Amino acid sequence: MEAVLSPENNVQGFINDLQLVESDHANKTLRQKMEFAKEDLFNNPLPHRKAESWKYSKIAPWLKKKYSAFRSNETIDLKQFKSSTLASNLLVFVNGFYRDDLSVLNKQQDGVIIQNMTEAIDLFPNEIASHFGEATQKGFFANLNTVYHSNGVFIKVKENVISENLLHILHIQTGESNIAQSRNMVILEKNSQLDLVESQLELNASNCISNHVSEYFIGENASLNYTLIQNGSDNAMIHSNHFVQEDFSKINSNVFSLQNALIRNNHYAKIIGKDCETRMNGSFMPGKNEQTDNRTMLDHQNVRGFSEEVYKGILFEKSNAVFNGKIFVDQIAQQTNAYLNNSNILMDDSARMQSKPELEIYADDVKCSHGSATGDFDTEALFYLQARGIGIDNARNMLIHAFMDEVLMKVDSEDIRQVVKGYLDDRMDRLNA
Amino acid sequence: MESIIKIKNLHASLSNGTEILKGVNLEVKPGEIHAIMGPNGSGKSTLASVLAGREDYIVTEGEVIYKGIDLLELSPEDRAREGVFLAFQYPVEIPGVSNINFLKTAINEQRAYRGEGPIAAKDFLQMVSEKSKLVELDNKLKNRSVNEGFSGGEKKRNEIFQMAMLEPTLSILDETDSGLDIDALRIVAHGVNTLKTPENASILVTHYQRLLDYIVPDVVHVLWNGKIVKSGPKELALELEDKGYDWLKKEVITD
Repeated sequence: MEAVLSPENNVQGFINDLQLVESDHANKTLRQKMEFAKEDLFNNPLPHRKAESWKYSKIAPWLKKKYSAFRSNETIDLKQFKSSTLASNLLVFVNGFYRDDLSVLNKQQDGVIIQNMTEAIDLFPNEIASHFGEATQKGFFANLNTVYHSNGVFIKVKENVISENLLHILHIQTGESNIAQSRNMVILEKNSQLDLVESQLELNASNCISNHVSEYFIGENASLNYTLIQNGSDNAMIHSNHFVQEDFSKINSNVFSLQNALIRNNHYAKIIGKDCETRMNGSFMPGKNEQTDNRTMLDHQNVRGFSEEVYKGILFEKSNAVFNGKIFVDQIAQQTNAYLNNSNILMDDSARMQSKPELEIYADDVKCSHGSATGDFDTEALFYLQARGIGIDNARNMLIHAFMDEVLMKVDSEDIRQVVKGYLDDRMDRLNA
Repeated sequence: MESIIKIKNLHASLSNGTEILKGVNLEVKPGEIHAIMGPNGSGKSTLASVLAGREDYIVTEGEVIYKGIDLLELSPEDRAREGVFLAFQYPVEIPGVSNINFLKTAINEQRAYRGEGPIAAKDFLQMVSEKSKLVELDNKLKNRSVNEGFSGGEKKRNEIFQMAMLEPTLSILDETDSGLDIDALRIVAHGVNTLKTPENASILVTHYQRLLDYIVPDVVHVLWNGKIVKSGPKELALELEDKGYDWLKKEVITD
């Protein structure tokens, strides 16, 4: 007879199979926080379809697989990949492990600290311990990362320092059945600024899952420009960004989910300061049998916050996408101005889109709007282009790019826009092939 | 003289089987302007759409010979590359595609079809500045997204601007005059008249005689219930305006 698995056993079983090693931070506060996360991890079931947050994405097959956290020391010649030339400061992770030897810090700047997390804990024990986990929302994958993360980087921009150089975090996934769990912390002190790009590179990776978590603490009047390019192939990527914003701070986050078997983004902003600006935009284009699931939460906890969210999707044959965007406005968060829009194009009848914009408002003097629209490809526009002599494939590409460009144009830096555009073009070529 | 287009016994239906065109015959020769008039629902716009290759209609009978080739065999883009131009009744707004980029792509695809290389940037810009003057198109509109946020008149002027840029052999203007004020109408008509050469031809689909005060047709046809029931010189348009379509219905029935 088969034993009935209780939720705990279920999680325990999954973790035993992983043969994960708990992250070995010696710091007492850190350990304590990890213990709490561990308790929560084991007291809750594995993500399953009956849970609201996993209703539409099929995570179960990925949780039935066995993974190992594999620290690869292989030498990778990054010069052959265009992504490595994106920025003069490149931080490389292979299977979730930070690789000093592959990372390049060509342009160091006073007041910008970029450190391997293991070393950073020795240097800034109190600061890291007090911030660790403070931005993170609960949930299976966040907890799993908190307890079992490999390592990560600590980035800090000191007060009044504008980081002059773009920083690029590159996640490389290699091999068979590996789990990659990096854990980063970014602290922007008062009046500081940082431009950060995160992207992905898969080298013969199969049946791999990544579960990256980053915590961002955006200090008073500080500003973060963030770009994520998810350009994998047929693995799963769970990506969590947890932001905390203080007074007058700004975030401009733009996420381009181009390809992967499964992408799940948990991007949350806790807006505790007054007069903050939060822009979180995304575009996604799942192909055949691929899933993209964006879950966002903008938690307005103080007055006069401005937030804007635009997520646009193009869904190809037999793809599945989810957008779940929540705006929460606390009773005290008066004069919040929040805008949320999700629009999607279905390229084929077999594509499935689940869109759920949510507003939860407790303040009475706010301006909040949300919208969602999903429709078929605009054949009238296609005919218009054809009627001017533009071939059907080119016409379709032009229209897809035009649709996606709205999000692309929200990236401030022209350089990054060009890079993202290159990836978008490549992706379109693959989809048309 | 060889005709530019010769339509013989053209029948076309909607996908649900409803027949809209019930045997249209029409021949247009180089240098000619033909007007097609008729009441609402007579099939005027359908004729324009079928010629441009819109997929909503199925041709069930008849043929269309354009410059000696079977037009109905060509894809919409190849028809355009061969020099057929449809000025849309409702020009489509395409957010995110700039007017200029759109036109450059169109011109280059046309050139590639003819085995020519892409147009030089300088030549293109010169052409844009020259042709946009013709329809008094504001400079700002050229760099905006195609038709996005354009007024009705601006959209129609943009159609004629595109026509000027693409230099078609056969232009089909589908109700280009509808919704235009008198100034816009004059500008559009001026554009069409200026673009007229002894080698090209136009078919004007219109509901109102008003347009024909500004663009003088060589032949006026009346399309009614999917067929051309009467053709005549430009005076026919005036007679229609005067007596209305009911007069014609009676005449057609009594014929």
